[in-house]
Amino acid sequence: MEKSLDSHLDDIMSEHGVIGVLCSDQQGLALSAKGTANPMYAGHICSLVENAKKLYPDTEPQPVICLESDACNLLVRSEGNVTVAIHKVPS
Amino acid sequence: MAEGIHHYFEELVAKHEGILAILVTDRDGVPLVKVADPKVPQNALRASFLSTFSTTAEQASKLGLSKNKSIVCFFASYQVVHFSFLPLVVSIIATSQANTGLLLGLEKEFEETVKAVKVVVDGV
Repeated sequence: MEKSLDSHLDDIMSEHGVIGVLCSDQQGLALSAKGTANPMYAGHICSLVENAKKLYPDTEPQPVICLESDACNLLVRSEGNVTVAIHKVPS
Repeated sequence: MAEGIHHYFEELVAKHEGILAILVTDRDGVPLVKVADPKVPQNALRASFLSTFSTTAEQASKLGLSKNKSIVCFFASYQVVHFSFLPLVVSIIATSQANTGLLLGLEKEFEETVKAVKVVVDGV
């Protein structure tokens, strides 16, 4: 059933520098997680998106949230009911 | 200790948007800790409602997926997340818009506190 979603996530995983990818629904429940992404953090990522939306309520399309650290960058974007978070090593 | 635990759960309710009540009960639904917003439906705080989880968890454990840890129930306007710390049960009542993933993640946060209550209950 989730084959199509998994194949899209595999495509993202094959991109240069990507070490993990997480896909979650609006309720903060993980739909799929690959690599370093922990499905337990789906709720936190959705909450991050909800709070970020309050900063730019009228912006369309939704902006990308980027959390930078020495070890990894986390890119988060929400589209419709789905939120995708990508772990990427800084280039 | 009791006041400290009550205060801890009060803070948890205040900190997270959408949580209406947190209850720590025994397997019969008798509340040991009860923190509830006035907006929470009174039916959801009844022992008869809360005790259904321990029976359901017992049945769910027979599915062959090892011991049941938590159950999420969605209703039209509310959602209820039950965590098993048998003989204790933690029930979180929240609005249907609340972040379910975040509620499930709370287990790690209050695990130590509930275990402290469990030690006291086991000693009685």
